[in-house]
Amino acid sequence: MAMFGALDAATSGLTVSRVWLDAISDNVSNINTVRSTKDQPFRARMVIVSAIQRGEGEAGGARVEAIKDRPGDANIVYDPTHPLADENGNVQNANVDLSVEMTNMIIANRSYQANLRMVEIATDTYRSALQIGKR
Amino acid sequence: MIVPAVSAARPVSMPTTIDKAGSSSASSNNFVNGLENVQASLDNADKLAGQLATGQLTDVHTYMAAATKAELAVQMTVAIRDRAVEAYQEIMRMQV
Repeated sequence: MAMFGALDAATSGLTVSRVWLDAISDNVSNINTVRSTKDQPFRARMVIVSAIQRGEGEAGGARVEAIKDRPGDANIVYDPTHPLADENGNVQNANVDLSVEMTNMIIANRSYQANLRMVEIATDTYRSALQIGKR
Repeated sequence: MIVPAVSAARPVSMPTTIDKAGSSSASSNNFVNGLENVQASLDNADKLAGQLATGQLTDVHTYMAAATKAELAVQMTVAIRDRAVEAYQEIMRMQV
């Protein structure tokens, strides 16, 4: 319903932040995932967000377009005692940067909070509109 | 001085009263449509509550927002009802 457009947009922002937090959590939990050099390394998940077209009866907002793997060179380390090591003694560490993930975690957390605040403010605003002309 | 003012106001007010009398069913239709929208938002909140309880809904905030929307819609309906009843009672109190 476009009547509560601010609520719709803020809810879509909440969903985006939640999906982002999920992805960050997945990345952080897999920071120690080691794979054989024959396989693909674990790559950090990145959430691609796009705007919802604003228009007649549509409040806009954001939605998750896709979840993609972070590109970049594999993080190959020499560890000959590792069970997954190849003939040269190499394994692949996860392609996750913990400092980046921690920063993103704070941003995602703040983004969720901001959208929650938006919901609160929008509800208050709509409710105060009902007070017009009250005796 | 007063008479021209009244006659000047009359052409404006007269057609609107006729319009209102003619379109009273249209405005009640609008009200019924509005009530259906309120019912739809209540149904949506109910559906989401069921999904949340059975674990099909992953986002808690989706339900909370839907419940807030339904609550606001009901409050708005009540406000409009109060206003309509108030106006009706005001007219009923009129001394003829």
